[in-house]
Amino acid sequence: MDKKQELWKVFSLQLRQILMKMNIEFERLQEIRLRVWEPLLIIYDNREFFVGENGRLNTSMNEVYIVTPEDIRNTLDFISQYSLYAYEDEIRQGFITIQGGHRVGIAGKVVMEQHGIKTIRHISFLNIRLSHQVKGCGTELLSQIEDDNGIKHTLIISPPRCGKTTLLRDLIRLLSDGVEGKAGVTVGVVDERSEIGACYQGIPQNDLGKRTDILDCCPKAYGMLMLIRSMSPVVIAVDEIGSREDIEAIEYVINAGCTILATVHGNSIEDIRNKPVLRRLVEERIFDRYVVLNNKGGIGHIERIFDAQGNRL
Amino acid sequence: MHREIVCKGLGICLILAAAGGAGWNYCRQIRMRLEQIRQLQQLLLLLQGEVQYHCSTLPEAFEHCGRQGNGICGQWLAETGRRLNAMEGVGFQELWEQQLGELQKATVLSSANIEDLKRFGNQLSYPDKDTQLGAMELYSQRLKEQEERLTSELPVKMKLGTMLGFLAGMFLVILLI
Repeated sequence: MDKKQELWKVFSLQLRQILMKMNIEFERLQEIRLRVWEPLLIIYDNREFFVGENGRLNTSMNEVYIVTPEDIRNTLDFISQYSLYAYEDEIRQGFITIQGGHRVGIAGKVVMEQHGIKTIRHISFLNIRLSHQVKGCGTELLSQIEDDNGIKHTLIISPPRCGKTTLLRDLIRLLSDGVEGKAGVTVGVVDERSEIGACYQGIPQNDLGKRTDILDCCPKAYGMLMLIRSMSPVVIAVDEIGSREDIEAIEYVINAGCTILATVHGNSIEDIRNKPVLRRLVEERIFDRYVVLNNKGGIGHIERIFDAQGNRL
Repeated sequence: MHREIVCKGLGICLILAAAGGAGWNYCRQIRMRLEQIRQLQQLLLLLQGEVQYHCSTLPEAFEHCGRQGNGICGQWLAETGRRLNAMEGVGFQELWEQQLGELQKATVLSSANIEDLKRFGNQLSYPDKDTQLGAMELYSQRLKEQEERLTSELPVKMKLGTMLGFLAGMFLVILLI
């Protein structure tokens, strides 16, 4: 089954039929948004379109398909494989990762308990963000983060939907397989949200290289320590760092002699400096390279690269 | 005259054999029902483990447990898991009921057993693990009760089935003679 069919089958029958009629290039489809009693929306090629019952894309509200509660309910059944209990933790975090590595964001009525969010009930909003592996997108950056002394600790900074996970995924693949006569190295990936490897029943759906070990659905801070103890990686890669525990684990990784590749939400180094937890990363010059992305020149466009001192390269 | 006696004797034997066979078949069905209830108990135990320790989804757990479990019930559960995994577009309840229809055709489970399974299906797909395991525990208790009742009734029913079969045959023979 191709990636397109694999994705369509998580939608309710009605939505499946509409989405299958769309005349689009699947690789350029970024998001599908479902909201109860609101039009079916997609983000395609960085633009927003309403989808009609005949699968036609419109920029106005003419002939749009209105999503029903039943569409959401059935879609949620397929997304969770009729087993919401198995996604209890993911629902608490607000998203579920499905086969193919696509991330489904969910929103509805949040039920609280003593120590935080218990679950989300009456789920009425779904955002399916598509994961696309773009092989080769990291080749240009690789020369900037690797020299004769080895691979440098690198932090990719980017706002959402600018391709930081895609770039990280390709860097992992390139480092693991080796390029231009350079031998590949063992890479350990802590894939907390199953977005990098998109593991389905333990098997990565994305190509992360021949020398990559993945800890799937594991909290980053625990995973980094586990990998060092068990898999002796040369490089450890993690996506979307942010907590105090993550930063402590990164320091442990660096002290253990491993190289760290990480991503973080943000627009610039200044953004990172302004975040209380992440500030230490910049001040203590933990990373050797900061790569700032934007989507002005397409997804994954590298805006700037800085060294540890914050000088532009 | 001699020929008539031979024919009657043969007829009596056939009637007794058929009635005895019906009694024997009844006993065999009860034994098989008990065995199939035990299969369901084993599958449920495996399912509880899959949900509790592996946090598997229902299709995954059904396929895995179905393959591990023995007999017709195991095959049925594995097939249910396969169909759920295929995401055919039908809801869980609808597919579960379709599969129960197949199970009823293939097994000797009583209508009450199938009705219990249907109720169990309605209780699956809870949003949290504890409630899900609670529903499984409840059905497990129900199966245990059924198994205990059938086990205690088995010797009596077996005797009754064989005797009634034979006696019904005798009754027919007397009537016809």
